[in-house]
Amino acid sequence: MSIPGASSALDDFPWPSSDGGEVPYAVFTSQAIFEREQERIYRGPTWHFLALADELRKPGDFKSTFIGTTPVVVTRTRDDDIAAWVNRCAHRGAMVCRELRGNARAHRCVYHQWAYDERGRLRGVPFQKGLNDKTGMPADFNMAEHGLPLVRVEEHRGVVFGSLSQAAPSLADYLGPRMLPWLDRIFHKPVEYLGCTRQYAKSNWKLYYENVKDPYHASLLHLFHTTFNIYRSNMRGRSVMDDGLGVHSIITTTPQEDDDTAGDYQKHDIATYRAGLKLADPSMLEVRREFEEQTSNNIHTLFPSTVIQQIHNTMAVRQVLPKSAGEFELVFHFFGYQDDDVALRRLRLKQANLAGPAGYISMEDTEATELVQRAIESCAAGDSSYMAMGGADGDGGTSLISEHMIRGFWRGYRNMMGWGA
Amino acid sequence: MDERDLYFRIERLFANYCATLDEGELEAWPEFFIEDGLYQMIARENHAYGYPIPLLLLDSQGMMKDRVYSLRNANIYQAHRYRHAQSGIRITARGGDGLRVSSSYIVVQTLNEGVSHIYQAGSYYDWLVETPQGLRFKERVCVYDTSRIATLLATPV
Repeated sequence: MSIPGASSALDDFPWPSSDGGEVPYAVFTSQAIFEREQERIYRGPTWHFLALADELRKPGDFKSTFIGTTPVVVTRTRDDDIAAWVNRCAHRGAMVCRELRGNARAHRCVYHQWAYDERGRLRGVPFQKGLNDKTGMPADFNMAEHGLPLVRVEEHRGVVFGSLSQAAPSLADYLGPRMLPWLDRIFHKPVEYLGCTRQYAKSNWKLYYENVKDPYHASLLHLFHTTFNIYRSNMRGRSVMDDGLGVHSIITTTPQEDDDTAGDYQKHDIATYRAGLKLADPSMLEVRREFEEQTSNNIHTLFPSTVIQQIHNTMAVRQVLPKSAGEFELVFHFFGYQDDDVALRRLRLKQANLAGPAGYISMEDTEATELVQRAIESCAAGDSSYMAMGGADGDGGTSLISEHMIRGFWRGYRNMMGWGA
Repeated sequence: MDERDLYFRIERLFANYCATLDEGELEAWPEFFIEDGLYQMIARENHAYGYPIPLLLLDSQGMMKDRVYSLRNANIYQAHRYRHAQSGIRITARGGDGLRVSSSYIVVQTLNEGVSHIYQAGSYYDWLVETPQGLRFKERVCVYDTSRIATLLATPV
């Protein structure tokens, strides 16, 4: 936790330029900046994925998670709506819920047995009236004033989002009219939670955000694509930012019928191209059409902790949980549709091989972010990155060889951090 | 077959399996399975709550060979070495369709810097069948306790 005012020393943190193309490496290594992010971004006016509603089917079902570094529990109440609270006892600050998942009508802190209901309201304090009429809590003690800190919750088409800020706009306004249709596209019918895979990266969380806003790297780092002739940079693409802060974005790729860019790759002598290689068992790459435009990749980045992924027929919400300046956890929450037939469900499970900690086209991402982190830990003050691919304004463009969304992200980040250009 | 002989054969199969991975002889790894064999890794927390999503799901020798080819030629990850320790081998069922065997494993990973750490702990749930080449896996399901994977998982355990 940061001490109030401690981060004001960072008010004059210098940036080399205003367009977001040069990022001081200190933003990835400074613990003081990390704490300012927790205060201004994660506890600030932002929304975060908490759960799929399908994870909480019955009243009393709960799940432990985080918003940034803040532990949060999300529950289905006896009234069949969804509530969330900060998992920190109002008495002495102990963690109240100690399980990942479960079902409970009451959550009791083990330290002094203060008990809360599933909405986080304080329901019981042992010895409140004292023992043998001696001691006890003051007469004016009011349990209603000592519940667990509540988290704002909005459920949108079966996705549960939470915010720690009363100042955050509604979820729809926060995402904006350019981004919301992409969320609605994936969640156009009821989904079923299939479980999660988790990995821990020794790198700053924003390096991952750069990665998921970076279509430039896709065919160069993830060689599985090119090795097996799956992804080409001239597939029909889309790379669009929200029209507010520019911190949310969507990247899609859609295969073209006449795709034959092997020539391009050979012409530019790109090492990753191999002609004619086929998987011994290509069953994993079968595609079942389920959208009007059957995108092969849909990477929808909702600032600052949520990425919605559709790759072929595998779908997941990736949750980014910063742990310190140099570490974050990445959780892939997989899901399918409730009306999946047996073959489609099996295909989704098989395509989990593509994404996740062991995924053919995702395992390199944390490898790359760690390579950056290891090399910048020792950098001098003022050292920065340089990103200019795609020119100054590629928004709305169709090229996948572009870094404009990363630059947009950094401009929005600077605004939220009080370092407006 | 005599119970002790059977345990000896299972133990030998497992020792060869571990040595193959620990020595980095990945091309030999699919040969431990029958042609339509299954190799699956799933987190303990998914397994416990009944969620089906796997970390890896390779349901043919072809998919296993593809994994190896991709690791050798396409995927990018830090050079590493595994060291398996396996214990607690139990035959849980024995019938005409093969043997069901469970055991515990620990994999220590060593990276280039020369640092070793416990990478994964878990259980193997195996279905073994007799083939002309000896005992082979019809199924190997690795239920890993270490749900939070350090950086990434490239090589199967």
